[in-house]
Amino acid sequence: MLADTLYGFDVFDEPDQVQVIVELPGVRKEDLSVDMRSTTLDIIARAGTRQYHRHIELEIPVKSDPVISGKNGVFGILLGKV
Amino acid sequence: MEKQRKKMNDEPVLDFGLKFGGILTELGNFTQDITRMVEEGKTEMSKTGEISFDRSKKVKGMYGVSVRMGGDGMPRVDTFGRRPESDTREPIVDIFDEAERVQVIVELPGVEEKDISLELKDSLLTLTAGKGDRKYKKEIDPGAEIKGEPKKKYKNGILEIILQKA
Repeated sequence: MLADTLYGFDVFDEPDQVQVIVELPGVRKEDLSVDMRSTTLDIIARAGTRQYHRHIELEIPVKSDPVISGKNGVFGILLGKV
Repeated sequence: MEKQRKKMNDEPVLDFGLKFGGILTELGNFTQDITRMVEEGKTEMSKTGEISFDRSKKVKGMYGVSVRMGGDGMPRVDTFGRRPESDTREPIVDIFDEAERVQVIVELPGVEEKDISLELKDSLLTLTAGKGDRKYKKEIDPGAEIKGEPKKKYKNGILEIILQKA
């Protein structure tokens, strides 16, 4: 859908962790799920008629227990480095 | 349909190239895309360009346009994103023209409700929102005469504005 193409994401490579920031207007934290597979990250959110799917290739091995925080339609996903 | 999308666009589609000038070269020939859209019977599409500001700062901007077909077959062109020379983004706006009111939906991810301001003057609504490195600004033409103050509700990054028609 249209909305899905309009917002990007930022990836910050920090010493011990990788931080991903995504903009998903209309989404609450509980609407968000993160699927980790090795170095790829799939962020999926459904809120009413809005659906988002972000596929991110990190190129950095990370742990598969993301910590999600955020509000007002912007979310941070923290991933510890292996 | 209960809600009907506002029919018109602010400028004729053919003025598009003049209005967006340099950005158009990055986005390609939009007029052609609109023609194809009509042929394929699609109701909405968007096109974006990525703009790098300064590589060392890792700042990237996105700018684009969206086109949605109204029920009358008239395309409505809108812009969104961040212009290269500005740190202020144009949010995505949807306008629904109802019998006695106009409903405006604005996507404003990442701002606080207290940082949203609306100014209504001569039935033209000016929205400014955000602070620091996340700022939005948009002039919204509701397409009708408006009375009273706009009502707003912000939730999960989406702002709903209700305007009473005069």
